[in-house]
Amino acid sequence: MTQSYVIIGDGIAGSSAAETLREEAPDADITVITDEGEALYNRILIKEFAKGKLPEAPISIHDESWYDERDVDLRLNTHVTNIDTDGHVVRTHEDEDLEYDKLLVATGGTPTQLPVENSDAEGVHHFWTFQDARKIKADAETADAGIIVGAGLLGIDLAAICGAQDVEAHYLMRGDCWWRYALSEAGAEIMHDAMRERGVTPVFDSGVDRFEVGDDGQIRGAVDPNGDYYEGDFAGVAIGLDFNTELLQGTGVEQDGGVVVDEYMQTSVDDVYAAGDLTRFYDTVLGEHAQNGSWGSAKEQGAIAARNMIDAESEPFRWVSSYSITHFDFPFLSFGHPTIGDDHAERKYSDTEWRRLAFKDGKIVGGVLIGDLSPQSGYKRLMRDERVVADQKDVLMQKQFDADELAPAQEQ
Amino acid sequence: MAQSRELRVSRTTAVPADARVRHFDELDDDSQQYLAAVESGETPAAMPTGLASGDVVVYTDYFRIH
Ligand SMILES: Cc1cc2nc3c(=O)[nH]c(=O)nc-3n(C[C@H](O)[C@H](O)[C@H](O)COP(=O)(O)OP(=O)(O)OC[C@H]3O[C@@H](n4cnc5c(N)ncnc54)[C@H](O)[C@@H]3O)c2cc1C
Repeated sequence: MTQSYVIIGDGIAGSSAAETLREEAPDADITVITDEGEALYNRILIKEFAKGKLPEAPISIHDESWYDERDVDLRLNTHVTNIDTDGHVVRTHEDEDLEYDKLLVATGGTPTQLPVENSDAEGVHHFWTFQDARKIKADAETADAGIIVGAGLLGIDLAAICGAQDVEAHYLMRGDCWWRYALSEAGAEIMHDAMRERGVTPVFDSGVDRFEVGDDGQIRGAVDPNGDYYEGDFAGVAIGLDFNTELLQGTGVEQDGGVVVDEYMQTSVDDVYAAGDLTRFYDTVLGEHAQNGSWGSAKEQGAIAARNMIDAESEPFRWVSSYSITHFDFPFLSFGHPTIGDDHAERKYSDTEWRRLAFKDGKIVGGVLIGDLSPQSGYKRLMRDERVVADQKDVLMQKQFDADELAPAQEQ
Repeated sequence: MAQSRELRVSRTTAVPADARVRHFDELDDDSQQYLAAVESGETPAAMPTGLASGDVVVYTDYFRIH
């Protein structure tokens, strides 16, 4: 009997699942539903478009013919409103019902709105879709002064867009440094200097209390919790993601700050799988549930989900993710789960070189490398191998890290 | 800058319309390691098969494989 697979979301997780399903189940019926008006595009390059450095064309990954050639039924501009998991049916905003044998929920998230006055004013931007990038680019090209909120990996993209578009910006941060959950002040200072070089001034122990708006509804500036005023006709907000899980209401699919899946991407409800940013997945490397928002991880989760939808519990997800920042003339890469752990080691090597490793139960669980990525693959291998190495920080932190200098692995 | 498999890597500002453009995070580990070495001024031995002629990779700069 022909199996029918329905995938909700045509981001990298959903699209990678569709590709794997077609390769490994040539006769299956496959439907991909997305509420966006365009097929898969490169979400991690839209910042380059907004900076004015890349044209639109190379950002598209699949055009509609990609789906036709693979006999995949692509539904653009179609929002799934709810799922009947007993009847194995998904319902769209146009009240169309689509039956499935196996369902993949890969709906990602929507940027969290800043809960302050006037955060919906003209010129206040959140950043997730290509459409957002088009608006950001258009506004940044004419703006003089910018305000950035959200001291994390997406906030710095908005800061870099201001830098590239000659918008003098203030980057209002809550703590005493950028990405304070993964970096110490010593590491963050390298990033602060790079921001300053591009005309973006970090402001610490700040944030936004309210935006000020002109009569035309356009943002004019922001007042921070200290009462200080910052001028700005452009604002970029990146304070987190709300996962798109409304469609799961009433399904009984377990959620815990994300859609809970096992290592096979299977949810708590039969025949319903989930992949990508919105999952709280069982991380076989960590030995506990974890979350991750990165392109590579979402792509791999989509492919793994597809294999398990075809053949249940056939392939577990086992992956060490990484996420880099490419805006500056030195490299920056974080891997694994750099914000967790019970121990850490860090060292600064020069004005543009710094490293930090996070450990849990003596094993590497994540890290951040600034300026020199050469130890990356060695660290990731130790993490994948679950080697207990926290007692050898001196070797790990050597500038030229050589895994062969570590004491041999004990039976663990 | 770096040469092998008769392919070279160089920095570029112009992105041809038909180029396959990828972000560093889309590359496999070998390609990342290779590009990181090129960026830091080394000349690594073999270009990994994950990089192909015509590719542009967004890293600390735009790098073109040709
Ligand atoms: C500006 C920006 C820069 C980034 N930079 C990097 C980077 O440098 N490196 C990195 O590794 N990661 C980066 N990321 C993160 C990365 O893009 C994500 O982790 C990844 O794209 C997640 O893919 P996904 O398929 O899980 O979700 P998404 O890409 O969010 O896809 C989900 C899709 O589902 C659709 N959808 C939602 N609800 C419904 C519904 N009810 N019905 C129908 N369709 C629905 C959405 O519209 C969307 O198209 C960046 C993200 C952004 C926004």
